[in-house]
Amino acid sequence: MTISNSERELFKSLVEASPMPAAIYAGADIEISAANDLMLNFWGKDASVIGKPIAEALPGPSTQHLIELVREVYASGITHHAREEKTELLKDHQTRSFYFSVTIKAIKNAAGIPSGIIHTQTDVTELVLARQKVAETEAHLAFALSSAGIGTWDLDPINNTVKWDSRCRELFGFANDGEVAYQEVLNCIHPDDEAFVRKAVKNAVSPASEGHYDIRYRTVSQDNQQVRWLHCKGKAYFNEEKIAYRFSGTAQDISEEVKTRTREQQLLCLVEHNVDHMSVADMEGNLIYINDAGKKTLGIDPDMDITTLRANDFYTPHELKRVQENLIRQIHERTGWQGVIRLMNRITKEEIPCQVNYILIKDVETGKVIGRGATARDLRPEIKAKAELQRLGTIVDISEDFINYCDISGNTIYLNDAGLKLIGMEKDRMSSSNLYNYHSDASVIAISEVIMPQLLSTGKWSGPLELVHQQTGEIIPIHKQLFIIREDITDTPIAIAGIARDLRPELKAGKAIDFKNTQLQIAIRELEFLANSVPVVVWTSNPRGHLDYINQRWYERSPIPINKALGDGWTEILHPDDEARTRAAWHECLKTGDPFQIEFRMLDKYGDYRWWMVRAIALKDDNDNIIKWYGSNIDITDHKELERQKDNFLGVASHELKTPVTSIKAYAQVMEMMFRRAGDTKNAELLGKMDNQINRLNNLIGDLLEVTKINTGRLQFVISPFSFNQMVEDVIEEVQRTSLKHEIQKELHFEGEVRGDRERIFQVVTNLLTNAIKYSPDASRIIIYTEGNENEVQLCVQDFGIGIRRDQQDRIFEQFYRVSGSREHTFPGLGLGLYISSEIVKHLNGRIWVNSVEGKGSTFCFALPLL
Amino acid sequence: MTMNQKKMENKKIFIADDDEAIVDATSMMLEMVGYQVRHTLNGAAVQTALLDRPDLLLLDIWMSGVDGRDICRRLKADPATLDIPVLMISASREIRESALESGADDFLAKPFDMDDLLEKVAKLIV
Repeated sequence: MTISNSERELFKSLVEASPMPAAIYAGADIEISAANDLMLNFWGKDASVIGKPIAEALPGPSTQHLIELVREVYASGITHHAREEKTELLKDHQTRSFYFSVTIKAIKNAAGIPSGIIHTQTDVTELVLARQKVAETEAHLAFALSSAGIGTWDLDPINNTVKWDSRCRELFGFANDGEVAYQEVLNCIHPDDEAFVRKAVKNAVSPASEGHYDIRYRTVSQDNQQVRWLHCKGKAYFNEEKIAYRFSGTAQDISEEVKTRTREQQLLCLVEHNVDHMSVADMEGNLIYINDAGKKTLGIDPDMDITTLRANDFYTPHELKRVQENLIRQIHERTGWQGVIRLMNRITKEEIPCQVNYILIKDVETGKVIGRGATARDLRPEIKAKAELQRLGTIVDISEDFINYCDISGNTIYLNDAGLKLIGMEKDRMSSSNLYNYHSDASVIAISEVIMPQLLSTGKWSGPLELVHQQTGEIIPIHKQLFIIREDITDTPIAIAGIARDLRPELKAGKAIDFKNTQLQIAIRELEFLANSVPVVVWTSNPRGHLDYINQRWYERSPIPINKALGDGWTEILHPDDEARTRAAWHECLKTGDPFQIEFRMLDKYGDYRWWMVRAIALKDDNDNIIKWYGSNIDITDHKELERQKDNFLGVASHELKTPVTSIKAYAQVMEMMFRRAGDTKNAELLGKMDNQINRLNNLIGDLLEVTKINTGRLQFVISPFSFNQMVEDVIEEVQRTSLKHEIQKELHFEGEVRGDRERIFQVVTNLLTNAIKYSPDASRIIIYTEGNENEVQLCVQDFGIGIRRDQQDRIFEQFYRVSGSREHTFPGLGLGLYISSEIVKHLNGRIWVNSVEGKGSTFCFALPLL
Repeated sequence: MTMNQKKMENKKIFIADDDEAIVDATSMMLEMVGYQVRHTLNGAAVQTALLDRPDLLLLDIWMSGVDGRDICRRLKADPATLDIPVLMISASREIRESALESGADDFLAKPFDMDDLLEKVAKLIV
């Protein structure tokens, strides 16, 4: 083993320049021919060892091993490589393990014969230790993950494959081992969550998300369909092209956590919505929690921060003292307290009696008391219910009906006063009585054989029974209702409650009603007989105006049978000219309830029309509602004919009478003038008086003529505009001439024209003025006044005469009506003047009326529309 | 004899009425105060009588078979008679308007007061 000098120098330079410990050995003694500082440092020697055999330079067992290796390489020419070879070395007086990567290589000459050995040695202790540390950490991590039940997964987004550990496979319920496709993973996800998971994964592998992935979802095991809740966290890694090449993370089974949270949520919901008040306070009395019922009861706004409130705020002052001085101590001594406390609504200050249960809340771990919890039930409904129950009890006690309560064998537990009285039983005998004692034999059989079985099966029974009066033995018919009372928990029948109504008054009333009905039927038959015997058609109608009865007189004239005339069939045979006004008048009366009175023509069985006068009045109840209409039809055809003849006669007669009156008047006036000229004043005056009487006669004839015209519809009107004032002035002038005794005073406030019949209105004013004079013989003045507005003109004539009795005032405008009474006999007339006046005013669409005080005078007025 | 009576002496009044008694009494009265009165009981003769040109025609509306308003319309339509004043008389007040419409200068209802008659006559005879 020889190395030439030039080779030696070359290798020496290489060794010295080597960045790792290096040495060159040569010769049979394996002499150190070169070694760099790093190797010298490793050996713990200086350069003096160079040139010395290695066995001498580095004594020790490890050197022997090196010598053997060098010789072996030298002999075989095969390079020795040792990676991370462990070497125990003494360092700082301690044996420590070091790791080296060693290379011992033969230096061959041109002939391929080894001429030396080069030895390099790299200290990889730190690397090996670091790798060991990593392995250790990984093992710890795997252990931790395994202990926590956390699985790991690793998705290759490019190839859509997933690697996962066994825990992860278990969590996904996936049987296959090894690498699987992403689609297969999706198949393990709960159908409701799949879309959501796809979206989250898509988001995570998108560069915008920075790879974050943190979701909770369900998996369904493919083996046993077990559903698990998983919490998956992960991160995607992106290459330079911003493409996710890796997406890995963990999966944790949170099924228990979800279950617990759900349970907590349910519990909290239960507490939140409990009808009882529930609250928690810390040991200082600061409120930590209060449920909705508590907030409502104590007047806490739902949005208020309750931590600002103290439990003490909700006691009445008296109760607060009791709580602070006694209850808190008792709560701690007995680890709780139950009882009634009066809480207080903080807004309304209303006191709320509550059944309260206080408990101490302890820390789960340490057992230390950390707060006080309270549940409170508002007792107001119970107190109210108790009061109601008491009231109900009172009602039962004082009820006029028989009310009893007995055990299931019929032994009386309770019987109210009305019951005791009905069966004639002393109160002290009540508790020893049995329902079988005070029912009739027939009822006892019914109770035991029919009623009890039904009661026990359906819980109730009602029907007729008989009681027996305990003193008189009288059988009392009753209507009884029975109910079974059952024990709350076991539902066992424990008692029977009964209510009975004494049927005697009803039976008596029923008999009375039967009797009345019989009487009524007789009365109806009598009335029908009477109705058929009267010489007029009699009918009744319902409130809607449909005839429901017509007597047999109908057949004497009518062409249609009664059944056809009922309802509104009768209107079918009305004269066409009368139908519309008849229907209108009838409907108006149906609406107002006013008496119905009309004259119309109806077809008779011979094809002629006959005149009928119909009158009907409504029978009303106490509330003024119409119950029925009662009407009669009187055939007035003959009367109408007579009336027509009378009118004709009066018309002709009065016209014919007027002609001689005119002549007589003319002659009388001529004679008067002749006497006056002859100086015969006395006869002239007589003729003057005669002239006045002729005027009266003329007026009477005139009135009769007017009435016949009114009645036959021949009163004529000529409508034209005229000065109302001038017309009034003309009347005053004319009337004033006939009476010097009365001064006609005028107050004419209306100025303007009126459209109407001047002559007719003249006639009305004349009539009012002459009446005023006639009926105020002792007075000396009459006042006439007018006034108007934009709609009408009004004229009134006031006298200070005898006046008219109130009950006669409505009738004075009727035809031939004359006020009756002793004084009026001195005032002659036909009773036509006011009738004619009112007909004229009505014809001109005006109104006429009177205000009068008997003994003081009257004011007659009329008003006419200004067209 | 007053001035008025003097005036009246020359005035002629023609009465047309089919009631003889009325014509008689009215004529007497008018003559007593100085008018010259002629009359007819026949409506159909009125037209002829007017050839005498009276100063006033006292015309009854209802004469047997003739309507005084028709007579009046004809008179007022004829230039020869249109200036003769017509005082129309009727038992019906309500005829007043139609009487005036037919051309009558005034109207008097029967039975009338002689004073009213004399006043209206005097007013119409100028």
